[in-house]
Amino acid sequence: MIISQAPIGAEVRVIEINTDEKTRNRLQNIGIIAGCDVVLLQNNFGDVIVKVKDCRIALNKGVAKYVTVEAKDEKQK
Amino acid sequence: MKNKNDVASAPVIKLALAGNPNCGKTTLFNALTGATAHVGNWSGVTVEKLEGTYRDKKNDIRIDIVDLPGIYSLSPYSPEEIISRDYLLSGDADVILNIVDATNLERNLYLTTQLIEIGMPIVVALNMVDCLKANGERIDTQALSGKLGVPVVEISALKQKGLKELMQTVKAQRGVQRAAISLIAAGMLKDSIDEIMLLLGESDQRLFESVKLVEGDKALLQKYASISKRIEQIKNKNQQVQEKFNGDFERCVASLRYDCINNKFGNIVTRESDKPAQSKSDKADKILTHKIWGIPIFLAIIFAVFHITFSGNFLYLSLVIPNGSFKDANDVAALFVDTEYDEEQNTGADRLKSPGVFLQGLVEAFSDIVNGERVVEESVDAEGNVVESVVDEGGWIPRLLKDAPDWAYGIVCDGILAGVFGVLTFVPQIMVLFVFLTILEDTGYMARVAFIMDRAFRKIGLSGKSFMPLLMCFGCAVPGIMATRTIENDRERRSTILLAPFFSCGAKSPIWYAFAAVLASTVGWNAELTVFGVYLIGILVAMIAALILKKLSGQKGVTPFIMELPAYHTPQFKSVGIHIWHKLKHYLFRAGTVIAASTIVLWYLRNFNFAFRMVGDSESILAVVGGWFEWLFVPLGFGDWRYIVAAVTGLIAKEEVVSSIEVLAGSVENFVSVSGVSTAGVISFMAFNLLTVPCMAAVGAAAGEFGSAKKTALAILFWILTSYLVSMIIYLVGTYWWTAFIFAALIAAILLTAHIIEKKKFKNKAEVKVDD
Repeated sequence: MIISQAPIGAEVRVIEINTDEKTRNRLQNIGIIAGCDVVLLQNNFGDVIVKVKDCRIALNKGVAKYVTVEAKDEKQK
Repeated sequence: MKNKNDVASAPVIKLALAGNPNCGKTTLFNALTGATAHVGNWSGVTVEKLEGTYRDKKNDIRIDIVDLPGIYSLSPYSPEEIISRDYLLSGDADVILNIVDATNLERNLYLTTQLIEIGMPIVVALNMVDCLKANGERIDTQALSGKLGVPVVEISALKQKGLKELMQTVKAQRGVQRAAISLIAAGMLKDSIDEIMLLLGESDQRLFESVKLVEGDKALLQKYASISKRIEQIKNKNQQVQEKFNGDFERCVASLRYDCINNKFGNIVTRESDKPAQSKSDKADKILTHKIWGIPIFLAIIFAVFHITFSGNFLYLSLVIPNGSFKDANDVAALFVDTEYDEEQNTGADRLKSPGVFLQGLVEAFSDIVNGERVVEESVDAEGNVVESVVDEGGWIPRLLKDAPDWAYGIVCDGILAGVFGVLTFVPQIMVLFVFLTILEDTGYMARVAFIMDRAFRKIGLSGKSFMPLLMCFGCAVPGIMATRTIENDRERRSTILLAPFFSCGAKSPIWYAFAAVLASTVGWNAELTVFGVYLIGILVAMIAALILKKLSGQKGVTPFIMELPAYHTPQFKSVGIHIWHKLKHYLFRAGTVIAASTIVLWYLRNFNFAFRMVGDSESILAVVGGWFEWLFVPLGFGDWRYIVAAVTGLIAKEEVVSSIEVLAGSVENFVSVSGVSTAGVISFMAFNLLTVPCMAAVGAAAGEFGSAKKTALAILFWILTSYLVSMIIYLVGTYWWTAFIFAALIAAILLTAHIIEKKKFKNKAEVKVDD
């Protein structure tokens, strides 16, 4: 699912960022990278605020829809 | 540098500050150098290199410090980040000081691990350690230093703790030969990095360059174009990366870096108490960035700010205060309340002044004491002689100059003082507005607003990234235009610069207050609403212009918006104070220099003719020259030379418009009544000043950002056309209401044409990029 479909407040894992190189590079530098854990804090019609590594990042729909996440296994928690 | 010994004994060290955006670089810079650079609680406040000097006489230290825009990594993304990377790699600095936000260690270390790949002396300043401790966490600084291989010093830039020690550490590091270390040059990338390194010449940056080449850094690949094939071969050989990361070296490098930070530094922070499930910031954000309530809350806050600044009816208390309560107030009380009372209808004298209006009244009272007009009444006595009797001696200066020749009295009282006070009267309100905007910025709220506004901005072809720069334009367009560097998309950046003057800056606001006061007395309009209306016209025109620019560019799709939201914190009295003091100094300086000087010139041109004789103003040089252009402005409703002169002097500085009016006609009220310009013409004049070419300083800033004379010329043309068109529409519709239909049809036609052009362009581009 894409990140804006994730339940608010739950930790999910990023599995793919399928956007242009420049944007993906920026996301990586700011801490959002395939394999990292993020928490969705706010979802405004597809624009999202996510928490990653203790900081809050705002992404608009144009970015958020390329970030695919999966639910984390309960056991892993 | 007071004497030569000073220089000889203290070797100058050049220190570059590098770190993530909003980690406190500029706060540290200010603390170390005594500078007063602007600090705000959002990413991208600093968009330029700043330089300053730190001195410690006792320990014989002198350090030249360069503050750089914040960066997340050494692979730059936006224009201001390129400035930082270029400087860091230029080798100009002796030591790099990497500021690390201790409350956000993992992400900050991502940059640190890249910096240590450059073979230069590095010191890490662990900032905000106090905040960390307050959260019940502790950092093992020694372990951090050991693992990074560079000295780490705990500091608090805000509380100015640990700074001396930090500077001594920096001094000790100068000239130290530090071997470059890469934490990721192990494991699957080791061979590739080593092999590429062999291809590069011996230098401090060899390891760094090798890692960046593996990553696929564009700037470096260009530098090493001759060996790019070899590099490609080496990378292709790496089976592990091909399998695990699908040959995506960039992701591989980033991924390894984060893994490495996690593994190596994960246990450096220890928690003493349980972490709250939800921080205060998160709770506030639930409401403040809410999808429905976010924007209304923002509008309410902005309305409150304007109310406190401009309202003559504070908190609408007139609803509960009986009419006429303040009619007998004395002079001092009249500073706080409105004393105007209409006895017949029993209205008025029931309003409190808002703080902004109160402060304005104070300056006005002061202006009266200093430069109150001398009032002389002429009467005819029994013998038929005209007798002058002085009704009011006037202020200090008029009294002092009462025996001076006419020209001297005129140049001082009607020229300089009238012009300068015309500007000063409005400084308090500008300052009050700034205080609130700065506080909102300093809390971290404005970064949230950029996020909630993104959706609305997208509709007109901009993004939330344009919000902060445009908001700054309400203060001054110069920093606003420079702040557009944080916008990555070139087209958006140019559009934002074009829109900048439409957001009425502080220097323009005197025009609105002055004319709003006149309109209040002539046609009875509410002054507060008139001023608000001007701001709205600006915003409305900006929206329409943005839409047309978007259509003309034919760009489709949503530009990415990625922005870090800082933690909320209570505004720092000091940084708000510094910022306001800076602005105040700026206005006072301009009033005392540029404006005072040009009022003299203006006064001369208005009172003398080409033969250098003192004449009435209708024969003066200004009237004659201004008269040549009157026909141009007839369609705008203010074809009068005084209006033209006032608007043109606005190019020097927008405060000039009001000070010119004071010089030309004594008062704004006179200015309007003498010229016989209609109400529609006055509004059209206001709109013209709002939308036309900004002051020279702003044009200069825009030229700097465009970087091309042609684009700058086009921008100037755009501003002239917009202001001319909008003013004409306002005047014509205001005078002949039925013309509204013609203009509605015209605008519809323009939008339709733009739409068709967009379609055409889109068709051509359709195969290249279709991306919603």
